[in-house]
Amino acid sequence: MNATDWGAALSNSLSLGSILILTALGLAITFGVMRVINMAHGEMLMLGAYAAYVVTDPAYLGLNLYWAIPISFLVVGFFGYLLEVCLIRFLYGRPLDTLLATWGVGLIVQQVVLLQFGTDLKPMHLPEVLQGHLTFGEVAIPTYRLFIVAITGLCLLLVYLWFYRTSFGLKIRAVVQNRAMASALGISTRRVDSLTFAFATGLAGVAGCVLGHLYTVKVDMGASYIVEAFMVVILGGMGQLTGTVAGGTLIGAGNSVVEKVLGNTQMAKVIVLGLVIAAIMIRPSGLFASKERTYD
Amino acid sequence: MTSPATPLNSVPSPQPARSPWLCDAFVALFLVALFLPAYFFAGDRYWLPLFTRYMALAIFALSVDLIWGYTGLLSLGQGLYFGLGVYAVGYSLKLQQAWHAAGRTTPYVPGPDMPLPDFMAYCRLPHVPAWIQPLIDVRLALFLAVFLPTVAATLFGLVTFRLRIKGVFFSLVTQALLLAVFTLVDNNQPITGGRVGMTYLNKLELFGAKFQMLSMYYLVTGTLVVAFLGCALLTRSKFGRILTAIRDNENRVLALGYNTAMYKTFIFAVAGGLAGLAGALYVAAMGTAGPDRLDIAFSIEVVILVAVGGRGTLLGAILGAVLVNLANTLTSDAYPQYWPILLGALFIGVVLFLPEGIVGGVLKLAARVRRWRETVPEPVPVAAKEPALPPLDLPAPAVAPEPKGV
Repeated sequence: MNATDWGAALSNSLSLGSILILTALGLAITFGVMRVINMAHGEMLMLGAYAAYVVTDPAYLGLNLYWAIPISFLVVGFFGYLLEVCLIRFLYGRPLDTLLATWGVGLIVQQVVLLQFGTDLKPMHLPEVLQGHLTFGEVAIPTYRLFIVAITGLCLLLVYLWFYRTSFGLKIRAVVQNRAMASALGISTRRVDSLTFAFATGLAGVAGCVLGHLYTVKVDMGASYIVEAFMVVILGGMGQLTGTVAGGTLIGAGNSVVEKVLGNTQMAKVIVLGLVIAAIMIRPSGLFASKERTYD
Repeated sequence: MTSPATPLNSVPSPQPARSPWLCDAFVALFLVALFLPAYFFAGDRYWLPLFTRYMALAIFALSVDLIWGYTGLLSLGQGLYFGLGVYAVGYSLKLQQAWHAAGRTTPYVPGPDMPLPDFMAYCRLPHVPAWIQPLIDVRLALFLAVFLPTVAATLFGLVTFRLRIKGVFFSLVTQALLLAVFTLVDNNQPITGGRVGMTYLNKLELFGAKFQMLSMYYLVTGTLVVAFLGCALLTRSKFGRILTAIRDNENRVLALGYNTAMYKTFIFAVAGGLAGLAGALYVAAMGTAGPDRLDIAFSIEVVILVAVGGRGTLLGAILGAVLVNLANTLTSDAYPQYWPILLGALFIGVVLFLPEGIVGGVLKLAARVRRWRETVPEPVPVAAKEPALPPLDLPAPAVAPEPKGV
């Protein structure tokens, strides 16, 4: 491997890592913080991509990517709100049942989108600014991949500020720490739950929008990311933004480097998944385990 | 961040039935009824193979029920063990088919000069890989179809359970493992047949008998009944009692001095072997072996079979497998595009409204009726007329009746 290869691997790890982080960010909130297993997270991603398709395609709205990102966030976030209010809230404390129910939601969403939009791949068009390459010495990195890194950074920053610098974030942390106490102090835990869930789902929408512009939009696009996204959250450590970032970067970088060495994307995936499983076995609480003792 | 100590499987176990022998009689009747399709669809080339398929899936559902319904371990990767069975027997029947296609006569002799199965020939493999060759003997393949998953599940269980990986972490790790194996199989087309897998398999021939149509149905359903009885013995024993205790409160069982990791490993290994057996029969009945059985969706759908029928009841696993798959066939015949929506609704509906499943729901209803009958006093005139007659109902036992899975 020469410098160009390493450059390509680096740019790939950066973008793949950011995509994983962006996908896992929503999960880090719903799964890591709220302890809800949303198996439909991949389908939320897909909904975000289709929302972006509807927004950007000339046959529908014909706007550009910059509009698509916030609209995807809002549309999918609203869907997440409905999901929480109509289904998830009945299932708190039954994580395995949540898993099954949300898998059902995923099936329905996928099929409805399939019936609505058909099975064909939807091409997406980038704004011209993002179409070229930026060259650093011998290494050329597609501008859009850098844009993804920037969007991921922005989302991380927003989540951080929202959690640690707003009064609503304080309420979320209070509810997560001690639901009964928070409720006794006058926090509407219902509202906190549903809004947090909606926000996290909206992030999946952003991820889908960004991902749809990178590849193509298709019905089963979310399913291929969901398992890895869960692995990112577990590998990093539950309830830790740092952990999610580290997990996403590790898995993304691992995938691209092994892929460069082997020259086979799928086998790289197998090896990295195997390594991640081994890592979780060795350190079940994740790389950045929160130092706390819990019963069970 | 302290999560409340809620049990992962907070659905209460079904109420014990008042009269166990009545339940047993009903179960026996149900098991006999499993053979009815052989009578009604004896010559039907459409329905009989379908029912054979349902019965093989019912064995798989039993395996999931053992670990999820009874022990509270939701494995989303049970398809891995099923898949081992599928591929072991798949290779065997494919090699046999290639053997006959090349015009050779039995007995089969494994060796480097064996005729290549079509998918290996497409990929220009020079000869059948040495580790696949002996599989042409279907007895060996059937043995490995049960043995390999058992060993794999034991190893996986030993590591995960001793590290006390449980709950959703266990589910997600099993799922990731399944995804890794699926990708591996999917991408090694010369050896595995890739996305298509192996098609046009030979019919299963065992001890001089050729299994197809009716005999295949009897073989699969007979195995199902034997598996059911074995599982019933296991779950009704003291061992089974400890499994349900682990499901309901593992910490307490640990505190009582039980090595829960070993109990969980054992039942996981049994379930793995059972899944492998189910896979072996499934592929023999279907005539194709492909990676779709290693798909993540397939493993989750088996869980819903158990959930619909009634988790923690063996009868429920079989009932769910037959009913849901029957619904699948009927819906897919008429409106294939709506089946995923219906299935999704089933997932949601069962979890929300019928967490104990059909069998659990019926048992609960029966318990409610019984309680209602006990609280309502017997009509006075009858008692006044013939005071000497003892009440028809047996008196309530002083000790709570033993919990008994159906």
